[in-house]
Amino acid sequence: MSGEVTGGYVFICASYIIAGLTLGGLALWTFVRLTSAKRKLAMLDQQKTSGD
Amino acid sequence: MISTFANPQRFMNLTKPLLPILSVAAIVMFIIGWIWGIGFSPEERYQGATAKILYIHVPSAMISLAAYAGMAVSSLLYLILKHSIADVAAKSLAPIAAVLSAICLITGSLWGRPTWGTYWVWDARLTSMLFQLFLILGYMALRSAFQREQDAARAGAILCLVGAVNLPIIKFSVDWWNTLHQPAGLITMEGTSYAPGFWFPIMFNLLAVVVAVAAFTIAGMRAEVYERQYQAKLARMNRSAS
Repeated sequence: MSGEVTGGYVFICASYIIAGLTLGGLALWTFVRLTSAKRKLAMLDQQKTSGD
Repeated sequence: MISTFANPQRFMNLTKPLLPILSVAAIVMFIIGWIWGIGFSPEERYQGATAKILYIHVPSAMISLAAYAGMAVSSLLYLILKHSIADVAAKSLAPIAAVLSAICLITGSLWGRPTWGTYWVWDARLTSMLFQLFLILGYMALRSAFQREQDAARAGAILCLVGAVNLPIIKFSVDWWNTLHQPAGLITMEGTSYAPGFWFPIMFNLLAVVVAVAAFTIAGMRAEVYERQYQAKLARMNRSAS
């Protein structure tokens, strides 16, 4: 028992993969939310213009 | 000055060119920061290679606290000034703060297993951080329980401000109690306890998270403004039709 940590590459890989997937998921969710809100508003504006 | 930037249309105009720049910058910085952290940073004397986990853990921990503090300031501004953009900011910061808190807890746990010998201890720092994650999830659930946006904003703002008491508890838990979690060392009044080989990649990754959070917040706020404009126009159209 030297008190030094050896190896641990599984934990390093798991950390970066989980962080990457989570941040990627947040980015995707934000992008989808933004584009769908923008599209909904544009469709409503179009509907309003054609109705006038 | 707050009132100038509180105008939703002005906010949309200001942030439109900013969003793609911040998004690209965040992606590039993460690629550089993570390659630097995994491939080119030294192994720590006692922690060995597991110190590389800290390049994600420390920035996500620090910025999750900053994101919650941002939510609290926005909530306070909303309660005082009633600017809807302040509520939009608080609402948009919540999922970002939750994700960063979760990353901090998971990566901390994965770092703890090889270095402490356990994934989890009910230590003051870890427990208060877990409490922050539950608090943010509770904030999001509370908001979604209301039909009227104003009611959701008011209730959410109050909960967020009450929960802000937890911020100094997280920050100073390592000083106030005897914890397994080590005390702050990255930025202290006495300088840093980190060697330059670790300090620079951590600071670079910290900057990457700051840029990413700015991009996420702007994108989330823009989505929320579009959604509210849609709801307002739809209500107007329904009123004029009836």
